[in-house]
Amino acid sequence: MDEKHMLARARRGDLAAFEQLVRQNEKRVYAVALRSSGSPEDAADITQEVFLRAWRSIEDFRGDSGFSTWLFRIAMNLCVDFARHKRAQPQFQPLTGEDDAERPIPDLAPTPEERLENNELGRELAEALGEVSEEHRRIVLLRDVSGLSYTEIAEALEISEGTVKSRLSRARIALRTVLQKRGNLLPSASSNEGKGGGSA
Amino acid sequence: MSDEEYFEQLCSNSIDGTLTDAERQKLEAHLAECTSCATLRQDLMWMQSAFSAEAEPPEGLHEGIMQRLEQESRLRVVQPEKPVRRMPAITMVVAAAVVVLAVLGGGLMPKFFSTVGTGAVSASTAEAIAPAATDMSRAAAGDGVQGAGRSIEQGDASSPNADVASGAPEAQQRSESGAQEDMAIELEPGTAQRNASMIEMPESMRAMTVAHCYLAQGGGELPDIGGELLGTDGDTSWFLLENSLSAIQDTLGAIEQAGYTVSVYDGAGITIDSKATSWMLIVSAD
Repeated sequence: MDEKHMLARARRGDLAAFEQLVRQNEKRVYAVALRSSGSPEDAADITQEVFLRAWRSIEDFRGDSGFSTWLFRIAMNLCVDFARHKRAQPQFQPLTGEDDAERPIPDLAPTPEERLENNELGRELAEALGEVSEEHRRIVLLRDVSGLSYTEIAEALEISEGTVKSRLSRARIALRTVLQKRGNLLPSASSNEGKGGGSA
Repeated sequence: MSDEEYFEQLCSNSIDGTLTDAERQKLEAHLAECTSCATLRQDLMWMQSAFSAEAEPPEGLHEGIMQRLEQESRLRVVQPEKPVRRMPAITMVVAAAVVVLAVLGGGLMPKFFSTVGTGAVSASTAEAIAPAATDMSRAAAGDGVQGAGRSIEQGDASSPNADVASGAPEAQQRSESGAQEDMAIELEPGTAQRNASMIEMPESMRAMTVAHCYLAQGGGELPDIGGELLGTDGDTSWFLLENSLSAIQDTLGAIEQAGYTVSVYDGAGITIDSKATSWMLIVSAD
């Protein structure tokens, strides 16, 4: 069954058809959510919410753009909202009271998935993304994580392909600068090079 | 755009494989001389590789998504269109009484008019008028579903008002909204239960237009219906089938043989257009 047919059936409330669309896109949506949030649990929650919202508004999807483009637009908005919400929340304060000894110690042992994903690199990437502008974060997620083409990104962000190219370039360089400041992840760190760009 | 920005953008585009041949040649020539841009390109390639690295979803992600969607689907099954709000019974009785008095006119008018005008209808007056008013209401209700094989429950035949309501031919051709909801209507023996208003049409199907919509109620094993299962909710399922007379006859015949009672669905929430290419079958198991 092709995507058009599945969409037509999903619009009529056929959940089985929509499930096919979920299968086609859930990995990439999860990847976007994971790279954006840095947490497997939050990424799973965001992914569920993305598909829930898509299902709720599937009747409004007119097909002007591809389904995945539309879906990633929802994902982008949710990731950005999630990041804002997270930043607005008070930071966790370490417990220093006298009765600490009586408090139950939470089980912080990571699950195998967490061990795999919640590693230093994953956290670094998510945190670095959190330091660039919203505009830059969106376009890096759409291109480098979702793998959307320039045309699809242009549709998702409602900008021209020329703007996609220039914005993506600036976003990557901004992200590189953040990564350079944060540590020695980049290949250039070992050679202690990596200034902003070309000398031209 | 400065040269620096230009080559930065070429570096960025190059890792996406979107350079033209001319741009690629220009960039390669530049990278041979500019170590800064060469390093930039190397970093960008690493970043893209890191961000695009496969992120294996946790076990149960798909099931979790589908579980939430199924919950949502059940919530999307909403109540049928709100029926036309009916006036309270006593208000209807009083209103009917006013009409009756207006029809009767003559010597009674002055006496009752003054009473109704004050809004203080005595209990005895209301009781005396009520049977006639009820009959009028029923007669009107019967008119609203004419042709559906219903019999109108007769009230006090001796009442002159009942004669007015049931005997006037023009009254029988009227159609009044809300008539189908009048529970006082008795169904002829053998007529399928007309409780379509009890079936909740899912919101996702409300925008649909079908040529016919039938309701099959009962039990027994459901025969192979074919068509497309649009959705289920508890014991109710919605099917969409190709509109052809033979298909309808075959399907409904098979369903009746399986012990279901078939009736035309006349509930709210679906548009009927005889030109539509599909018809809908709602199966409601007991």
